[in-house]
Amino acid sequence: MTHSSSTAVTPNPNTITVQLVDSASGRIVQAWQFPPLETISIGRAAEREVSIADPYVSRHHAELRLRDGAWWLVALGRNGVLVNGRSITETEIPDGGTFRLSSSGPILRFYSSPLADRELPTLSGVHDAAEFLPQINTEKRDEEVRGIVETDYFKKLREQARELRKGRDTEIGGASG
Amino acid sequence: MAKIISTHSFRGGTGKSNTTANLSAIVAKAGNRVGVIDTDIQSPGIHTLFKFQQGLNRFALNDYLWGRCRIEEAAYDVTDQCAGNVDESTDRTRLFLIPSSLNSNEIARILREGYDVALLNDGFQQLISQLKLDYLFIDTHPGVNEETLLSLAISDVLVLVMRPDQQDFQGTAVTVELARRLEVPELFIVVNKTPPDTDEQALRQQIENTYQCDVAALLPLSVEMARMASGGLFSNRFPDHPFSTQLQGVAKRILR
Repeated sequence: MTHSSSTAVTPNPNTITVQLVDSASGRIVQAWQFPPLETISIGRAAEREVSIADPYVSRHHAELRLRDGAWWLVALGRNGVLVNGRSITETEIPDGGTFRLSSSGPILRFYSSPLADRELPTLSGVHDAAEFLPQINTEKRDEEVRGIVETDYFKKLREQARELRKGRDTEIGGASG
Repeated sequence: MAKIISTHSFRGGTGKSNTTANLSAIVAKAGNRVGVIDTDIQSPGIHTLFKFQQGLNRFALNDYLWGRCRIEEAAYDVTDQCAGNVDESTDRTRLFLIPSSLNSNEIARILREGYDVALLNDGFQQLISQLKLDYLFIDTHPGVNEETLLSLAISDVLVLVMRPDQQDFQGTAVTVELARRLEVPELFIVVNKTPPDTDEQALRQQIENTYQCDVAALLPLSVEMARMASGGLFSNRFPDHPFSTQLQGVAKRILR
């Protein structure tokens, strides 16, 4: 996914967005987008539409439900849901509304109308995979490997391993024959 | 024919012992007789995950290596910690732990004198035979040395545990290559302590392309795991946590 610097709005089939917001910086940490749906479940369990691995999030913490054209936020988990600092059982949630899962848990923002591409979270909101790009010095690797495989111990070990595996394969063949 | 699985990391702190303990428990609970041997003699630790108390009258792997006992005498049934409520008369599920000694004198002796690595291999085969194991998990010492090479050489499956961390990348590349030279039949990588906002698909692809090796699981960096502090089996406490469900996927590969 790349960030477009163009101001042109590109039609997006996903009309619903839920964003996980970093409470300190306000930065979008993660975002989920959905086509038109009537219910979006939120919780720690992997099967939730919005799944968040956080100790303050219940397995099935809350739901966003579409009722008569309006979106409602419904609290389900025992840790509660807060809107503007107040605990709610269920409440209508506007486009762009934010809520918190438990008093110490993550903050989410909800959009029920399509976001323009330029408003979508960029890769800077998701850790760029290049940060974790394994950097291997293949020359150094090969030199280290050479230093080990050319030892008498390694050569003997390899032969022993081959004999052991041959013996096992024979045993399996004998057992199944 | 018992399957031997080694878990290895190039560096310490990758979560290898946690991965080994939880993986062995999942495999045991699938109705198998499983052994877990702590060959990290220099810094033993996996026993804590099974809440195993080492005592004066209990043998450890070190005693076997010094000729003080048969290896099966250093094996302890920890099925209760793994599966709980298993009838003693039940043949399966069973999980046996062969711990290494925590005694500092024992560790110092190993560091000073070393030991006959060939004895380890004999011990593995004896364990499988005496305890009628279906699977033997070897929790290895980090890094490449004679005993870790031995474990790699005799293993049917090698699970390489690494973090998405520059300190792990180069050494893991060496270990992958050595495992290939030793013709280990099955080799895959488990990436542990993956930060929560990582692009997992991209990370998996990067690692698979770099090492030409399957990534069997991406285990999340977890607050719950840190809080548990190796005080028990995470997969029992949090069976639906992504860490546990990912390991269940790894177990399925081993059970094939």
